[in-house]
Amino acid sequence: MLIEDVRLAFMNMAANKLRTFLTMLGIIIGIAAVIAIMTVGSAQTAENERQNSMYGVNTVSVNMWLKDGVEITEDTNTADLIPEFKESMLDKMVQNYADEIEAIAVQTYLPTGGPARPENSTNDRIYANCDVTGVNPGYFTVNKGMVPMKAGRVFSRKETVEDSYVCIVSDLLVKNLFDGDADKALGSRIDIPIASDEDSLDYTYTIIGVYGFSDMAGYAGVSSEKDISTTVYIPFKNAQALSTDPSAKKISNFDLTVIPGVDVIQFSDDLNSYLTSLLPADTNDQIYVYNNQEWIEQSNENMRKQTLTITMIGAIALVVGGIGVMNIMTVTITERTREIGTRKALGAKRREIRLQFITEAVIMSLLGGVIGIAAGIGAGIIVCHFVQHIPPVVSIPSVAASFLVSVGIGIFFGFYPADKAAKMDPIEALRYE
Amino acid sequence: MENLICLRNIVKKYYIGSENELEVLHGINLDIREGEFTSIVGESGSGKSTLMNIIGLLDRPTEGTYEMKGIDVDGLSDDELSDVRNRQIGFVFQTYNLIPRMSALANVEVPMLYARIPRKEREEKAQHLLEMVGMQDRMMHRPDELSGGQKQRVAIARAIANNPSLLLADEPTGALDSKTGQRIMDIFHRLHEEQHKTILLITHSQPLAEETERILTLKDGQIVGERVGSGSAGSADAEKAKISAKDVPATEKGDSSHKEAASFHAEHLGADKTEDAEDGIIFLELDDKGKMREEEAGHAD
Ligand SMILES: Nc1ncnc2c1ncn2[C@@H]1O[C@H](COP(=O)(O)OP(=O)(O)O)[C@@H](O)[C@H]1O
Ligand SMILES: [Mg+2]
Repeated sequence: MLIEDVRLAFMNMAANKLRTFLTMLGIIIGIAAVIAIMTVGSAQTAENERQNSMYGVNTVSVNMWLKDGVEITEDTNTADLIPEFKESMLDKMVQNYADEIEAIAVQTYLPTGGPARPENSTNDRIYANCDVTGVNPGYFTVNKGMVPMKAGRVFSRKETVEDSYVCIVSDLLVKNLFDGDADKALGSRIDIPIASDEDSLDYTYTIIGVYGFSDMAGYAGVSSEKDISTTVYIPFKNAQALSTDPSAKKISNFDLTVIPGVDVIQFSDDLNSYLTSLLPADTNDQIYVYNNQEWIEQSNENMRKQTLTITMIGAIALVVGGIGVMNIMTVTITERTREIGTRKALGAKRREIRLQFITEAVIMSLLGGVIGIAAGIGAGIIVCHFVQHIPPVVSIPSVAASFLVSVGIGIFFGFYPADKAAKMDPIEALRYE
Repeated sequence: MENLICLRNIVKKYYIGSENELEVLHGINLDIREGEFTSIVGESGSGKSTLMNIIGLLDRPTEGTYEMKGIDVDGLSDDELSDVRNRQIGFVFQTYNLIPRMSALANVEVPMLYARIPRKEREEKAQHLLEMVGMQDRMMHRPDELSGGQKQRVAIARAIANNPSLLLADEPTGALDSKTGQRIMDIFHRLHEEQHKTILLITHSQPLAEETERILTLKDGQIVGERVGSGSAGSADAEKAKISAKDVPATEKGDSSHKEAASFHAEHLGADKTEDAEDGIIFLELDDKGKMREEEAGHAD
C-alpha cells in the first residue's frame, strides 16, 4: 500500500511540477539555510581543533600595550613609550611560576632584502625565498606544533646570548638549496640579505637545525612551491643587534606554554594580575594575557550564536514551507475529491485515504528537504572555500536531523488536509464537480 | 435462490436548510436474489441514484432496514461499510470515475489493493480482467488516452476485481453512443450468463432495460412497476415477477403470473397498459414514452 502511495505521490507531483516546486521552496530554503550554517560551523570547529593542535592548547600569549589615552606631546620621546618587559620582570615571573611555565618564547621579526642562497653562490637559479625571525630556544618548545624540529638542534644558551650567526631553516629551504639533503645542509653556510635602513646586507649563517614547514596559510595554491617563503630562525640577541627598528630592542610580547594539566584560562587571569602588579604605579602600560583556549571558546560561542540565529530563520522558513504544504494539500484534495469518492466506493477505509495523502505531503516535504540539504551543502562549501578559506565539513547529524524534520513537517502539516479527505462523505465526494 | 439483498420500508430524506426536509424515497421494499439481472428505469429525479447509493452502502437510509446476505448493515461503521463495499459490491458509474494519472491496469488493481491482495497476484488478476473485457492492448494506457467505451470496460473490470456478490451500474451507458452502449451492455450480459453475477442496472434506455430479467420502474421515490424482461427465459421466471412496491401485498408467489401482477399494478396506479403480443412483453408506460426517448437521444452523443 505504502509503495503504491509513494508511486502515486511522485506521479501527482510530476503532473504539477511548478506547483510542487513552489510549495517545496520554503522547505528548501529552510533546510538549506540550516545545513549551510551547520556545514560552515562544523568546518570552523574542525579548523579550531586543527589550530588547537598546531598552536597547542597550553599556549599563552602575553602582551604589554600602551594604555589608552596616554598623552603624546612634542616633548615625548616615542621610543620611551614602547612597552617593555624588563629582564628583571621576566625573571621574577619565571621564578614565581616555576611549577606552571614549561617554556617561554620571544621573537623579533627582521625584514629581508631578497632570497637566501648558499654562501658565495653565483648561480641565480639556486635560491630560497625567506623571512627572518630572531627567537630564543624556548620558541621551539612553545611552537613545537607549528615548527617541529626535524634535524639538527635548537640554539644553545651561549648562541642565544652571544649574538651568534647560526640559523634554523625549513625543510623547504633545504629542498631548494641542498636538494633536500638535511645532512648536507647541517653545518653548511647560507647568505641572507637583511634589510637595513637604505639597502640590504648579506649576512652568512651556519645551519644548525631543520624544521618541518607546514603550509598553514595555503600559499601552495597561490604560487609555485619553489617560491613559497619560509622563515629562517636566528638567535634572538643576534636579531636584536641587526635590527634597525627601535621596538625590536625591547620585548613587548612573548608566548609561553604551561605544563600539561595546568588550567590555562585560570593561569592566564592569574598571570595578568601578577604582571600588572609588577608594573610601576605610574606606568603608561597595561598587560594583556591571551590564550588560545579562551579564543576558541569565544569563537565557538560566536558560532553557536550565529548557528542559532540562522537556525531560527531556517525554522521560520520551514514553518512557512509547512503551511505551503498544507495549503497545496488542501488544494490537491479539493481537486481530487472525485478520486477520493471513487476510492471510498472501491473500499478505501479512512486510514487508507489519510495515509495516501500524508504520504504525498511527506514525499513532497522530504523531496524539498533533500534538495535543501544538497543546496545547503553546496552553499556551505562555497562559503568555506571562498569566504572562510577553510576545508568544509558536512555535519552528518544535521543532515540526519533535516531528513527527520522534513518527514515531520510532511506528517504535521499534511495531517489536517489528509484527515479532511479521510472523513469525506463518499456520496458528496463522488458527486463533486 | 437466496435473497442477496432485502430492503424494507427504505425512506430517504434530505434536509435542506434547518427545517425543510425533502423525502426522496418513500418506503422502498425490494428483494434481489443471487444471480438476478435487474434494471431500474424511471425519469430523472425519481430517486434511482439515491436508491442505488443506499444499496451500494455509499449512503445510509433515513428509515427502514437493509439486510445483505441476511446481515443487517445498519449497525456497521463507515470503515466496516468500506470493507463490505470492497468485497461484496462492484460499482460502474456513468462518468467512469477512473483515477486519473493511473494506468488502466493500476485502476483495476485499486480494489484489490484495499483488499490487501499481494502485488503479483493483483497484477495477474488485473491483466486477466482487462483481457476479459477486451482491453488487453491498452493496459498501460491512462484514462485520458482511452475512449468512453474503453474507459467503461476498464471500470467494469475494476468493479469485478474482488469478485463481488453484487454489481451496481448507474447509467453505465448514459454517456456513450448507442452502439458502444450496446457493447458495454453485452459485457454485463456475459458476466451474468457466464459468471452468474447479480447485477442491478440503472438505465435511461428502454431497449437496454428490456434485455434484463427484471425491470423495476421508479417514480417519485416509489417502485411503481415491475415486469419481466426478455433476459428472463420461460415460465421459470414467473417467480421473478414478484412485486415489491410498498402498497402491493408481497404474498403473490409462483401461482400468479407476472402478466397479471403487472397489469394489476398498472391499473392500480392508473397507468396505461399496452401489450406487445409478439414478444409477450408487457410495456408499462408510466410517462409519455416520447420524453424518455428524447432524453436517451440526448445522452447518446
Ligand atoms: N444531496 C442531496 N441533497 C438534496 N437533494 C438531493 C440530494 N441528492 C439528491 N437529491 C434529490 O433527490 C431526488 C432524487 O435524485 P436522484 O436519486 O439522483 O435521481 P435520479 O438518479 O433518478 O435521477 C432529486 O430530486 C434530487 O434533487
Ligand atoms: Mg441518477
